[in-house]
Amino acid sequence: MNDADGLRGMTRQSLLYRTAGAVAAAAVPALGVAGPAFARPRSETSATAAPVPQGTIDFFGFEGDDFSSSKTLKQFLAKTGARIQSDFFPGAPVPAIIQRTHSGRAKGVDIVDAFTLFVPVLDESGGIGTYFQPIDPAKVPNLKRLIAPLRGTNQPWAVDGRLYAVPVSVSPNSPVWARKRVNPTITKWTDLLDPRFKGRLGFIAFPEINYSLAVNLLKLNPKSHQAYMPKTRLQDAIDLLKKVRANAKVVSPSNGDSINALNAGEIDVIWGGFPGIAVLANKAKPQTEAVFTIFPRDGNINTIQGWAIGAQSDNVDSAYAALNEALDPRVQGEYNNFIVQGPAVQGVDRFLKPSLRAAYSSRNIGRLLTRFQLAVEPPIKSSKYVTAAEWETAFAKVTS
Amino acid sequence: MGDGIREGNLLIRRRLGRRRSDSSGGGRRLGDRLLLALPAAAAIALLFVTPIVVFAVYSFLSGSVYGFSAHLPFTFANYRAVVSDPTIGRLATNSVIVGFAVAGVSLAIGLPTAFWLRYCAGRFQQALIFLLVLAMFAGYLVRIYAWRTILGQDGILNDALQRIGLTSHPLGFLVFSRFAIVVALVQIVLPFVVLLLFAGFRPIEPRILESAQDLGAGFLTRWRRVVLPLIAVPAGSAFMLCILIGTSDYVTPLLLGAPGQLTVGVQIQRYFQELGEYPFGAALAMLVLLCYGILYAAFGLGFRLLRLRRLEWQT
Amino acid sequence: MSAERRSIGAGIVTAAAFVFLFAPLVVVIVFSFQSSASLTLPLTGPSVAWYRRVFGDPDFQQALEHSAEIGAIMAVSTLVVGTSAAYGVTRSTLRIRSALASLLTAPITLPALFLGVMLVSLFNQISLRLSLVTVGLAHFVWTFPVFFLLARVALDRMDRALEEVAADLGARPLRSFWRVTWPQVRPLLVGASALSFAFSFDEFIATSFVAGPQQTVPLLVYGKIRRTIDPTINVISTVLMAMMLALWLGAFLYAISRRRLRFQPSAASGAA
Repeated sequence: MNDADGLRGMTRQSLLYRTAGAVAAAAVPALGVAGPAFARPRSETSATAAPVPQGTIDFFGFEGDDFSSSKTLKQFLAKTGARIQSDFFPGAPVPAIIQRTHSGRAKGVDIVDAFTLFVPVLDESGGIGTYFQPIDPAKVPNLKRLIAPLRGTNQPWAVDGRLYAVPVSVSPNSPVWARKRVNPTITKWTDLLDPRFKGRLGFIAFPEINYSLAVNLLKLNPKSHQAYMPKTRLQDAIDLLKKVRANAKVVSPSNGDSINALNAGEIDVIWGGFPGIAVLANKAKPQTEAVFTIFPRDGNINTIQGWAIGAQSDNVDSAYAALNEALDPRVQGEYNNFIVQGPAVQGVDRFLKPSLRAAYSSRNIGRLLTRFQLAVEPPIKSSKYVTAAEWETAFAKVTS
Repeated sequence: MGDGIREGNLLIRRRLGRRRSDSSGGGRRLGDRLLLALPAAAAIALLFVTPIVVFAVYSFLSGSVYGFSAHLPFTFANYRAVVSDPTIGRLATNSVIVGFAVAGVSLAIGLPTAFWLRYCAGRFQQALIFLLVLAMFAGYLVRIYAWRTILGQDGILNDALQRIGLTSHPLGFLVFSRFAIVVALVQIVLPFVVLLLFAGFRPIEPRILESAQDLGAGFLTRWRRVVLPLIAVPAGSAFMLCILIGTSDYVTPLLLGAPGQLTVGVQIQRYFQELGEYPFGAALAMLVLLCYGILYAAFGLGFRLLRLRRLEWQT
Repeated sequence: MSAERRSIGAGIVTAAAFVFLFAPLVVVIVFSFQSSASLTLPLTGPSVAWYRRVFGDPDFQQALEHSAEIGAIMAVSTLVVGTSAAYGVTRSTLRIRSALASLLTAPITLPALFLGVMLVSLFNQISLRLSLVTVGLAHFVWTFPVFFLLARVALDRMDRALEEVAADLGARPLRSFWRVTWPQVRPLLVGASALSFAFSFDEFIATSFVAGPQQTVPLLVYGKIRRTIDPTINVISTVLMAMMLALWLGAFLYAISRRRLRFQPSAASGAA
């Protein structure tokens, strides 16, 4: 069975070197392949080999992650009569994907919202091929637009040299706070543990985010680019989270819940959240003036949102077409403006809102990806790292 | 009026030449009528009894993280793990506290309310009961968030209290506390409690209370020796209902409680929906069901010992 | 005199109880008409923007359809199955009937959480896919016992003398039921059937376990609070309350408008 250590434990420098090589390796077959003979006519751009979308493309993921906020994508699909129809994760995403597949309802799911944390644990849980199809790079010409650190097959979302998801957005976490109520301002995650926030902190209790965040902040696994937690350091992570809980007034099961508490003035700071929370909070109540920082001085974690093509998709070519278009810079700009995450491709700066351009310039995204570790899902079985069951028990103790 | 019908019936029978004692062809069929309940019995057997059996079996099987199934081998490990888990012990304690608090408060409010509705409401009785029923179906989650708006630091209640001058700064304990959990659950459960108690008060004619008063019984004595014994069984049902809802509800503590106040229900939900460890979740749920069963039995035994019975209508 | 004093105390508690019961509902309604998105004080100006958004939302329309479908099926199925079961139990003299009645009301003893996880276990074991069908099955177990209890009370308490008359006159059981029994208990049973609809529509906890990809209204609301909490959930709730009010008003008016069948004694005694 696949253990979490091994080929994906690499340092940040070697990642850069390897992606350079991977790009070269991927470019050759991508250019050389004429692709299977498509019965349908090719789309306008001459160099592209992306298929033409048709019909309904069924999406399974988080609300909003289907790029429904991108008018350009909608128009592109509508030109040939296609559209995306979305079904949302009823709860935690990995069990949702697994359960849906096992209960026979994955038939016809074309695109799955696949964060990088999912692929290894899904692979453990019955083989990645049960859930996703390997990506054919020839059908996604826009892969070449990906930011350098995201290219290639030596990535957590590839298995045995084949891509099973394509990055579509980069999502760093960030502490969020109400600017007017917090003085002096926050510069590190651990500022939130300060006694001045006792009873004023909102704790977003997503288990996998806190797992990875603890690993990064406490430097529990500094040599790995992915934030897997060594078994021997479990107690350190729990101690950190206990300190967070000590300041917490509310333990939130969702982002929306913590936004509500922040706007109601019950809390001033949020642990375990994302920049999007600040933007949504301000949208609902501008007086809150919520702010965030994606470069806290003591560390941070990134989640890379990807799109995967369902193993039982019945509209594969359309899924590829949508996926390829999702990597178009304008589409990326529209989507990331809405979801407040970072683009996965180059050349998006001019499409970003001015307020987000500073945070999510391509230079910053590059810095994010090299400086901070990738969030992971705890493995199901491992001799070295804290497993999902162990983490669930320990985390429940802190948050229940 | 029924007497009038029976008189008429006797006349008809005499007319038709039937004897009084003749059960007029119905006797043979009366036993068969129970067959009408067969479809319902089959449905309940399939949808209630069978799941319990499957469920009980699951609790002795083995599962795995993200397994969403149960398989051999048989084992007691699930039960052992549940009983030895300190987190579950803490969740159970929270559940008991919330359950009994909700039961106590609901009965304290519900008894006088049901009493007043039964004996003093007059022509408003039907309208008020109608309102009560209406209050049951107002959406579960939204009400919880409404309580945040009411009980919050910058919320309606604090605002009002400060304006009146009763407090000088906002009360922080109103929300994200056990107080909030109990308040929200009582609001959800109160209509049921009042209706149950009202149904219990129905057969008790006002003249029973009046005669007790005439015989010299004071207020407390009337209640202790006349009303309470008569209302005991419905009150017991209402109490059990509060315990059931208070201990198993997991959404209210999640959204309105302080850290560390979750109930056992959340763990059952996590094991079934998020971790997919069915056997472990089943074992935990079976143990909770066992506790409920003990509580039911305790009530039944208590009532029998005290010779309290449910009242029947006299038509 | 002391009875009065007691009544005043009880009256005050009752008034307080009703205020307490309706406080959050009033808040829900008021905030559904606020222009501000944040469900917090201060009150901003009135607005129906959120209503427009909800009614234009295809997800809401679909969820509403699903919930209404299932609710209607529950109302009809509990009415048919429940009435016949209650009739059978109350008109039988077999000793087994009270055990049977206990079985039929047993599901009421368990909270929805347990019904949900038990049914998920069953469906998993027989490999039944989660869908609106499984939701319907769960709702049936949830609503049937309440209907049965109410139907049993109604059929127990009605005057059976007319049924005896009908039997004496040679009416077959079905005709007797339809012409004699049913008109007497119809208001109560229709009300109980409306109750089934309401319970089914509002059910969230058990549904969250047995639902497939199709959503009901409570599931939709739960999905909405994930990302951000805004007045659309208040709007949905207010719409629900209005629906229930209409439903209940209808059933209630129907119930009080139909008095019990009055037998005219003169007709029988004059027949000698």
